[in-house]
Amino acid sequence: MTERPFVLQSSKRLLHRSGLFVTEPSQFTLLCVQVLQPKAEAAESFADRIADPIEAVAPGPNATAFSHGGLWLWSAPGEWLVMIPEGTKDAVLNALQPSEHRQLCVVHDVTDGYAILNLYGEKVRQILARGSSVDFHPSRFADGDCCVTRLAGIRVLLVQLAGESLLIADVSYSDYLQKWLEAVSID
Amino acid sequence: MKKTLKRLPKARVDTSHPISFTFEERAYRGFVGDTLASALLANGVAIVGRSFKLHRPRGLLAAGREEPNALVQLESSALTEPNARATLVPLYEGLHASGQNAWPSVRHDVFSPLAWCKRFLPASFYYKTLMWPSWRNWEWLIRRLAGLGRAPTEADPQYYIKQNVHADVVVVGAGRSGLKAALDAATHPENRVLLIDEQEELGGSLLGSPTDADRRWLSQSLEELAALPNVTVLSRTTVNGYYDGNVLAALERVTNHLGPTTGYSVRERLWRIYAGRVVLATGAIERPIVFPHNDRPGVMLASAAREYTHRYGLTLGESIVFYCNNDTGYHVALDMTRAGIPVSAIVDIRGDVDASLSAAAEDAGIRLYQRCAITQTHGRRSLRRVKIKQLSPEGDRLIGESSILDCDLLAMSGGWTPTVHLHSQAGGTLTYRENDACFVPDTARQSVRSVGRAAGDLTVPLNLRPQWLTPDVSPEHQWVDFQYDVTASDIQLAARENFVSVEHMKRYTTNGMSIDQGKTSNMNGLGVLATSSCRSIPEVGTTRFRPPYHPGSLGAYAGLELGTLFEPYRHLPAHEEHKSAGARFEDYGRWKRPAYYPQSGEQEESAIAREALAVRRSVGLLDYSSLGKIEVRGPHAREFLNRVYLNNVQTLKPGAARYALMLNESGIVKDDGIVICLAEDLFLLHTTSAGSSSVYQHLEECLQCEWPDLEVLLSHRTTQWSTMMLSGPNARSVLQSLDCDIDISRDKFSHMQYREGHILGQRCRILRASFTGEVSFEISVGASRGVSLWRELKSAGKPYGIVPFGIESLMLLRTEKGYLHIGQDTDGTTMPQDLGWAGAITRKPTDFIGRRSLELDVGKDGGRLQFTGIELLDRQGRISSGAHVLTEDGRRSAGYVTSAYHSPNLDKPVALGIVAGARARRGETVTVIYRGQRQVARLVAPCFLDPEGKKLDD
Repeated sequence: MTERPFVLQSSKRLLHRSGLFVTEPSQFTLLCVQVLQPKAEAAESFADRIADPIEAVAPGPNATAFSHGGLWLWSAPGEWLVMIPEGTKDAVLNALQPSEHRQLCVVHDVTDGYAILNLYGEKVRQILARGSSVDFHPSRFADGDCCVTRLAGIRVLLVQLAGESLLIADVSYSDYLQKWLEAVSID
Repeated sequence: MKKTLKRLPKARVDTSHPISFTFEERAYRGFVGDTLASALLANGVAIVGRSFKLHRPRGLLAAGREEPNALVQLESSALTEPNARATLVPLYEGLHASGQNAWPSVRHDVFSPLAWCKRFLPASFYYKTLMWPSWRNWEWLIRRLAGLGRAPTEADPQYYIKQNVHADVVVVGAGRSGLKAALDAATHPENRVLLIDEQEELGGSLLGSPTDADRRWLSQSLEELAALPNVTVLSRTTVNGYYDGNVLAALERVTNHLGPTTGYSVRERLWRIYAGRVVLATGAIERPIVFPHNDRPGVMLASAAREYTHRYGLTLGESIVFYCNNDTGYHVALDMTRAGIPVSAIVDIRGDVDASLSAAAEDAGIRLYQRCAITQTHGRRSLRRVKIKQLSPEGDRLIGESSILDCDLLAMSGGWTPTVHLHSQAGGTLTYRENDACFVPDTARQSVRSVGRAAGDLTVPLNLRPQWLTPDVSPEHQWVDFQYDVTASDIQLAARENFVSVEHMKRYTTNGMSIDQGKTSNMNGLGVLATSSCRSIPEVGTTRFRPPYHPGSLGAYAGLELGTLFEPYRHLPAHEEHKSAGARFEDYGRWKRPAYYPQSGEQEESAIAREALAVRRSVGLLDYSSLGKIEVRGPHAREFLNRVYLNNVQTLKPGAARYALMLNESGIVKDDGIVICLAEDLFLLHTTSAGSSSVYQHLEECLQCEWPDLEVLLSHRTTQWSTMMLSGPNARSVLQSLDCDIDISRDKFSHMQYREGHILGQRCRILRASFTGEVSFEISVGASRGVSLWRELKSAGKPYGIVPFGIESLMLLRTEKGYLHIGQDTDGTTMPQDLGWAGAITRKPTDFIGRRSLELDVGKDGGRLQFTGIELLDRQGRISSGAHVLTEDGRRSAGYVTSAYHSPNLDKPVALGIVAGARARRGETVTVIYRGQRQVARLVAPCFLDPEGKKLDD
């Protein structure tokens, strides 16, 4: 997964330090797709439902994928965040029409609830490792990987793309995160 | 101490780059590559510190981390650093250091007469003597005298940072064994190798080796290492702790070697290391020999003499004597003579020394005194001579006449103790090796192994003969712990008083405690204790090593978690609006919420009163966005909520809302909130702001662990929506003046109802619920529209004199109404019946979490703390949260005030509290006490205003 996401093409610059650039993408919509997890006894029928539009495209744990015009990010068992270009929500929702077989599926627009920061520069991995215990070595956290972890004491979703990282957190922590990045990038 | 005029040729200091520094306000000169310790020795400074208890003059004993004497105070004011070991401080231009625990200087200390009082100040003297008439009479004095160094009184302006790192192989120590281990691990390219060493440069004891072969091997190894891309080297870094899961903590001194920094640069970095496997190459520490007055300046470890001579090129004395019980002393003495340093004699406790070693020493012109012990040292400010005496063949007594040896340096070697601290911290066990009289690593509990000297591999046999204290002379001045002034007599006293457990002896005598952590004293202490209690050393055992291995600065542990970054904080969507309106923010949970909005010159109490009056009389506006919002969806959502809330959710119709209590398994009130039915299979929970995350986790746990068969999805939507609360008699009018497609007339939208629609062209959700007792509308729009909604509501409310009000004003308003605030009006024992909810429990036909506990006897006790109103009889009096309600006899607490304000609407104090058996005592007068002041109050129903709730129906 090396394609550069469309959503990062329009960004507001927030921080510029030696080895670290932080921008805030705009003009995107963030959807949260939740699917009730199949129970163990229904595993066979879950396999049958693989043709379902969601289950067919949704990436597995700690992975990302481009599909249905969006960047899919695994965020929890049975839950994905999907970044799509602004104004394409309806088309994507139509494409994700729930299957008749599916037990329960919900799609929320959560754009207002999350802050997304785009981090790039040679020191990004080193700086993220100042607030999180995730192994950020390229061999362990490669392009296309994502993970839910605690960074600087808050729950975040970290996404590794080709040459850049996305940091997704609750929007109420946006100011805190920016100040933390500013402080922690001192060397 | 001899001043070195010219460094030896092979020294690792750059004599072309002199450095000026001061110690005790006197100016000196050293060179690049020196430590403060080596530079002080080069300048002939003999006294570098004073002992902790007796203020005895102390010189340098060691050359590394084990140094117990040379603790110095670096720099001054905000940049000062206490307890820095001079042996670990690299010299930098302008360094300013002073001694500690002495006044006015370590050379002339007014407290030095204490040194004559050893007999009156044995171990534990303060336990025995400072108890009369009371410890408090002495405490001030002890607190003045105790402690080492001075903590800075100003904020540290330097930066400290934390860093996590993962490695497949972590090698601790970059001496010969560590370098070999790192090179070996790095041959596998997939291995990420992290090599950590505490010194300024890699090499460990090789840096002090006089042989060309060692130096060549070192430089070749370092070159090889530098060429390996999979090796990361951290020098100036001390691994301080080894924890479960192969996690290590290490402290890197990033810019200490440059002196204090005031710019934007990091001074220290705390590493948290996640290791695949760990190799400990931490070396070994040489032990002192215990003999009378072995603490005199000029008495030093042989390994230190070697290091200062060959690494720093110092000529430490004109007449050097070695004192040893193993072969190390001979090797070091011979190396020194080869370097041209005069060694006059070796005093050896043993009588059976290897003949070739003896011959080599004699060939080098060194006089040998074998089977002898040093029984005294002399010299006022530094060593001048030693007295020696013959030992009996068994070594248990002295025989013959004394003789005197003149010397200005005594280098001693009592054997070697492997540095097993980290192995022990990792849970590993130790075993005692009789031949070398030391503990070595045995079994490991984590993926760790020790190599080289740390594993007890001392390369050549020591041929050691332990002598834990010198026989036939008083143990009173035979020092074991140099830092804490513990002598052999102190340990013997502990044994006599039955403190024979090694852990007890340590605490009783302070041997091996504090900064030093027994690096040089532990084994000798064990030896003396074993001898005194007629046991072997394995029987005595050893103390458990705990982190930190070496003290670190508090700044490094704090890192950046200071000031605004002390802990994560959350902003409301309209934070900037509140800020520009002059709001005073307070922390509620992690939220920065406006507490109140003072107008020019207005005090807190006046502002809160003004806001509360405005809400009761007209309308107020509150940013309620932090309110927890959790959506519960699915065919079993109703059933699920009916199980987790005390209240009956089965009867809740779409568009209706219900106040509900959530209990834990013990029946204790966990949270409250409003359950809103949006559709048959969709509910919205409004939880407390601070409790939303814990409620969400609780619900998830219930679904995943208790009832996985229920088809329910949870969505935490708190920050997706921005919620503004309009409250007051004119709230409806304000809302009606805005473009809104929801009919909010009284008949169509009653209390505890919910509607969805559009306001100002935006999708919105409106709930009619009240926490003020007035008609209230909680209007939610997408968080990004929160600012514009706030502005529009303020603008629409202008004709009605709308005021923004903060959380403190809300608290006052809800106290007037007697509305419960979970966490403030409840404690960890509050059950619903304590709040007057017994009827709801009885009425609910089905089971719910906590129900079984509510039916136990403990919940039926009428004397439980119950929620109540508390009214002062004096209307002008003041009542405070935290005040206690006294029992009838006035001797005990019968409960306490949980919320208290002066009500501007009622012009009297109002309070809520939890008081024993309060409901049955309604109308009783009680005594309330706060900070010693007693007032008379009455227990009343917990509602002071509009008890019928008529205002809510307006």
